[in-house]
Amino acid sequence: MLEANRVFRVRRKVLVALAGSLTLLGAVLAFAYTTFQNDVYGVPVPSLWPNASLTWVLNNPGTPPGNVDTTDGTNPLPLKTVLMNSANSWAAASLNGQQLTNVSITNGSDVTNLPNPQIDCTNVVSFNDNNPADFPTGTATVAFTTVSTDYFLNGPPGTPGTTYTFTECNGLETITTTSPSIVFDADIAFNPRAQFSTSTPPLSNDFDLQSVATHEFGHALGLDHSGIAHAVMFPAGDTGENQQRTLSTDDLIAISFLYPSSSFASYLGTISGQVTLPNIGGAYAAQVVAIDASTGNVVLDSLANADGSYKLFVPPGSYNVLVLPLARDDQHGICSLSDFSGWTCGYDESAPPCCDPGVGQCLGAPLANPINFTGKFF
Amino acid sequence: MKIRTQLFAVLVAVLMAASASATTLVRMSLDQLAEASTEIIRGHVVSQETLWNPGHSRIYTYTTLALEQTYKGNPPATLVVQQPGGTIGKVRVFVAGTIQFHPQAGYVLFLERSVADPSKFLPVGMMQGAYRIYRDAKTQEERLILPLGYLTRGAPASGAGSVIAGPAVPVRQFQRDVSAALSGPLTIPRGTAIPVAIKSTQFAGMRHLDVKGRTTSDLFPNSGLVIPAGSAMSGMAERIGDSWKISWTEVSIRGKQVLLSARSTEPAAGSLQGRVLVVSVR
Repeated sequence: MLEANRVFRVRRKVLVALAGSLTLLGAVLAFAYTTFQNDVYGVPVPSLWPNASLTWVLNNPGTPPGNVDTTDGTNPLPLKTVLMNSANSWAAASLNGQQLTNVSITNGSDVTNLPNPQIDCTNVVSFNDNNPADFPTGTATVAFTTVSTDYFLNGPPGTPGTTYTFTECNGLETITTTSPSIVFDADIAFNPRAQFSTSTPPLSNDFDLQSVATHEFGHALGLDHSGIAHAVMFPAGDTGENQQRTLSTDDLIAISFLYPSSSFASYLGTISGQVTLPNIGGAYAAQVVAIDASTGNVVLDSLANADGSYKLFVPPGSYNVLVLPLARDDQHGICSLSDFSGWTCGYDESAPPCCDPGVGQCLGAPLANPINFTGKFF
Repeated sequence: MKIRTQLFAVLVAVLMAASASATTLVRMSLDQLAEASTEIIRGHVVSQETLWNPGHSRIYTYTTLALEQTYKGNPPATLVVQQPGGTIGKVRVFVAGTIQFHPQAGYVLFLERSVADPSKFLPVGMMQGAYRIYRDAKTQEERLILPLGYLTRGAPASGAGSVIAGPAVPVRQFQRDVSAALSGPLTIPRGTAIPVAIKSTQFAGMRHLDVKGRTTSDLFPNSGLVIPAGSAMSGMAERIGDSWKISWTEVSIRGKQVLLSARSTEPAAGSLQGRVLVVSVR
């Protein structure tokens, strides 16, 4: 029996071969790589941009933000260059994946007071958000992104290739696309009271602007947080750190999953299965982690679907799969993303690898295989 | 099958009702969360609604909780927690890092009163400030889910054979931890660099000025301390030659006076008021 908050793992070596089916991605997968999902007639569907060329307007560039140091340290870069580097790290992701062709930053005048900024299809990067509800004092939010989405409400998703029509941008534009859930506006705000620098390495008391911006552009493109500490999409950062400039395998596969090229499926193999809880069934949003069997390194993670099923797309290799079920809810019997507490699993930089059986460092009680595990390995 | 159908129906209801969670956060320890909060409460979710703000520029989700227990502050019997994002019609605005509240579920929340609207509360550290309560089915013990696992409770023990508890703690233990965090003294570590803007000076005798300033950045000097931007600092300036030697002696952190020792030197020419400087704690 699987107890609440108990960590368990599947100790199986998995030889991943080159297999997969691209046509299954949109129709079957739900929470892979923690993307932003919308409920399309009972089917969770990742939200993605309908076009491959995206632009963000740098709000009011004529007034350099006072909290960004672009002069001190080693090789400091101009603000716009740093933002472009961050955006391009996603557009240039090279796991034989994503189809984003162009992400650009343009200078703009003060666009703060445009009507309906969250639904106007003008993507904004700002450093002057002084709304106290957005950045309360002393409460640790360095930056955040509002990602506006829309989704098809008139029935379940059709077969791949079905087109859907949306009216967005304050009702001024019609968008036709093959995804029943879209992102149509994403605004990035940096905390005006946090100090950023653009040098390499970053100044010790400042946040590295490129790292933070890379994380926020990941959100803007449709990615939610990752539970892997070295991933760009891990939610926490600190001053003087710049490791989140560089995409991890988890990030690369996540962006490729959202925006796949034709070679995506042929490059990656799959690990799939189902996580269940006694008397409940599928463990919704259980965190499933692939660990490189030879190195013990955490490679990527994902969340299980509503029925506990999961499918991980991984590069060729041998993996152990760790499953971190979330604490049960005695009132509702479900688990959700807000209970994403599997991050206790050695994901801090100072923690050991994620309970790799070969390392001998495990979390909690001895781990047992989950019941009714139906993993299929290719 | 029936159970799954019911569960999924509940799931859909929750997903439709709540905003989702992204964002870059500073990790906050339990001590920091406790110190940064104006209110720490236990309560359960009563209702939730999502609205445009009056200027139609932002979507916010308001979650109402019934107060069950107060750990810190003076909260009302019913609290409204404001978070960015949510769903209105078919438009769903995601803001990663926000809390997904479960209907009727119990939480321990670390909150800050909104400056813009003191009747509303904001979660401290976004999702880091929300601990959902559940009852262990086997032991019937109430436990709390740690929102970021051990990241909020310090680095886990390491080394071969070490045993770390799961991502939840008993409520009673957590209460003791919070009490301990609240009762600990605030100390500012040596070497902390505090950016401060001088707001005013007042004559305090021959060649002396009382100096008042405000910090300009949110600071997290150690695992137990948050110095919010805007915290009041005070000190004494003494004119020596062509310079003002300023001895900073106190900072007010959310109303709590904390002694410090720091010095800075400024050119005597011109007014001190309006200058922005960085002082290093000795």
